[in-house]
Amino acid sequence: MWCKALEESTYVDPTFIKFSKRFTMTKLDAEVDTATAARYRVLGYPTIMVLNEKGEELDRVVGYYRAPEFISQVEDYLAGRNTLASMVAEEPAKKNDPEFIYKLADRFADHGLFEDSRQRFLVFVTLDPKNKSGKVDDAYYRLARMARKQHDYVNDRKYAQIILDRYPDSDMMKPAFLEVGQGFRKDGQLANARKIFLDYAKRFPDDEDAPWAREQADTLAAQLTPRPGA
Amino acid sequence: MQAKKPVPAGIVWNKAIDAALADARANHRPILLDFYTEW
Repeated sequence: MWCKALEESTYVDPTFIKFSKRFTMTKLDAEVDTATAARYRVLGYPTIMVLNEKGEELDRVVGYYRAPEFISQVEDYLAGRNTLASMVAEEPAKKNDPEFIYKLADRFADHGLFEDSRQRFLVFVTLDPKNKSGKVDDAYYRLARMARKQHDYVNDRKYAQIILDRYPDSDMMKPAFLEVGQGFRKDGQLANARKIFLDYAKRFPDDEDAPWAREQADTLAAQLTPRPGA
Repeated sequence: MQAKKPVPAGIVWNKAIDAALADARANHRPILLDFYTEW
């Protein structure tokens, strides 16, 4: 969806077209050229790599941006500003700045460097215990998802549960609720997972994810029912 | 009547990384490499 938005808005913007003349513009279908996508550690789409003429990465733009923001990010990277490398160099001086640490965690994740990202998100949540930034719930959700990716389902559920306990009014509350269910399912605790999905569908019957939650509960019920003769 | 601003021609895309790297080296310019998916 965001690849199309980039195509239909940013790439047809006259300012961007003019800007693009300074580059060798290249487009690769990540699902076809999987080797190149893997080589550059591309994990989300769209990802636009900014490479020097030798093909070395300066940095990357991940997601959709309109032409002015896109151009500004690329100009920064070409000038060595706001790159992941420059941020890592700045980190010792800004280690107690929650906004900087959150941004750094986010940038590491964009680069597929999840362990580095995880460490910064953990620092961030300790730097902002009162959630003045309004991003602590998001950080816990990112931690939960990273834990699930690492098959660490105990921490996956732990971080998601923190959102439910501490930030019940957060936008991340419903995703965290479902994350607890996913964590149980992945951990083989199917009855607990089913309970969570049923509870979700009951509490939020009009939510867009409620049908999906019901479907998960039904699938789990079928898995939990002993087959005759088994 | 105001003259219309000329609309620049669209972007010319390379579709292969090797060709892109060769082009960048030959022209001494950086590369923007867009990894996209159809979905």
